[in-house]
Amino acid sequence: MKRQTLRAYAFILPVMLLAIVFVYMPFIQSVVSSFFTVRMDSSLAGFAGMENYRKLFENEIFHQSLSNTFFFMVLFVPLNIILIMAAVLLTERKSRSGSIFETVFMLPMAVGMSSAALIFKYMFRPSVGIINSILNVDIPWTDNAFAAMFSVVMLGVFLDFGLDYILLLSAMRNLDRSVLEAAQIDGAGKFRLFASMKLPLISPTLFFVLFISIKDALLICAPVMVMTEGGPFRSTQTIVYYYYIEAFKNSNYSAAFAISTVVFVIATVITVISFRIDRRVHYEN
Amino acid sequence: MRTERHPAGMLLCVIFASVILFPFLYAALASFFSASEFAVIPAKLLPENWDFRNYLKIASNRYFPSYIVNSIITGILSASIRMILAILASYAFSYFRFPGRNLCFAFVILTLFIPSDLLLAGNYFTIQKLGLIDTYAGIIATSLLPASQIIMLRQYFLSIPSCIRDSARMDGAGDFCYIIRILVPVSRAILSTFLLQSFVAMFNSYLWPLLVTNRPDMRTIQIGITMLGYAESLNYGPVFAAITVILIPFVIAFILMRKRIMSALSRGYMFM
Repeated sequence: MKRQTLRAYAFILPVMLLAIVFVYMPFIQSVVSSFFTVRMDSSLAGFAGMENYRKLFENEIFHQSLSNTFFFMVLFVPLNIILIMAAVLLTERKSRSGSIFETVFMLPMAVGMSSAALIFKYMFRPSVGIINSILNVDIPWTDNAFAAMFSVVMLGVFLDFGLDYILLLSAMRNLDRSVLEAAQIDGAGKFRLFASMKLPLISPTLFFVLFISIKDALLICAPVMVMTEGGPFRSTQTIVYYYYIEAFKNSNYSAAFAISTVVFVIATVITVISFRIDRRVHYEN
Repeated sequence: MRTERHPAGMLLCVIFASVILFPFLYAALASFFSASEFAVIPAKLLPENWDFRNYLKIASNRYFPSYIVNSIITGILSASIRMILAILASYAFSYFRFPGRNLCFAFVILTLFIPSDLLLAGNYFTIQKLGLIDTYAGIIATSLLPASQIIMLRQYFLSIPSCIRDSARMDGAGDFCYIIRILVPVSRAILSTFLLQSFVAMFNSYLWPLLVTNRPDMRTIQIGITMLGYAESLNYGPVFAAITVILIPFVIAFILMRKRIMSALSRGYMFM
């Protein structure tokens, strides 16, 4: 019996160590360090109290990065959900041509983030870019703040499309057919069937997709880095990208750890709120 | 039930599909452009000459081959280590009773709620102190914890009737014998999806490999393509050739494994 227990601990030891070394340790380090002045080699120089946070909240760039991130979120989340929902409704019923479209719709999963970001970067070039020439317009994608943000949003939707599409499509297809057929026999039209039956029934999955979309929007960094480098004039610089710049470009770790702690707090608030709502969504079913 | 779709729905499907396919198509076409063809107004879609000079340029690039090799090696290492760790941990979490089991399980699962991109600085210092900068171990280190896979695999193991394990034990099978002879073959479908998912995640990761590699010959491909050095001369052709080269095997793999990926995702959607 004792030997069994030892063996069990041995089996979970590697994952426990990895969790400690690469998640909990750096997490605690960054939260604790955010209250200290941090030297270039990450050692602590002295207790700073709320000083790092005070500096951060007075910092114009911090405010701008945070508001850029929420602006991205406001554009990205609804657009993402609407487009994916539309794609799911279009391919929900299995048909001869359906499997081709299914494959195409999940294909963005196969592309690496930086490949996609590079492709989008060149497609969205002003004047000589293919997007402008196809739409026959001359949108200054890299010089206009809103246009640049919109091009990053398009990239974000493209990157998340495949996974979200599969999640929602399989939720839709796993619905209990007999319930839907009963509603149909009772005379429910197509729209009624969707609004009063399917939508509530898939709401747990829809809610999950919404949650990851919000989280992805809050944490977006690398696609921005490759596509716009935060430009023009920091108008697409998101909060995690700002963290990256402070840590690895400016070696200003005091600021970096304070930023990461702020984002941890925001992420935790979002998670807690969504768990509360999630429980309600599940109960209603 | 297979039915023909409504013409309007069909049209919308085609529009959606074209928009999604367009970046793929454009990358493939642009890989045949010459330097000057990128500066034409209005931008063109079809190349003048269908020759492979951009692909030849990539093939003769000093570092491109090592980018590819590094990505494949780190992808295989990360995927296989993750799978082994996931099997061991899920086995212990589903078949053993031991003090602190639920606590340990929660400890592992809670890591999913800490955004890894915000741990970059702390993890960078750890890797630096361990002297693992510019090593494969450093590149894969932060990817090795398979938390979401443990959730799914534990659930899967629990669904296997316990009488199978009991009778295997009666026949004298130890833990490893049971894992290799019974668990792995039974969960082959889910494990192959895990391997693909882990490999793709490692192969496509960007920020972490960018941080822990300084030597050009240690870079992975997703970083390499942003640093090929042709962009300065405004010749994007070779970059698109590189993108196309790495895209093709993934597109094929996803098309072949489409059904498996879909069923794995519908069973448990914890791909966070």
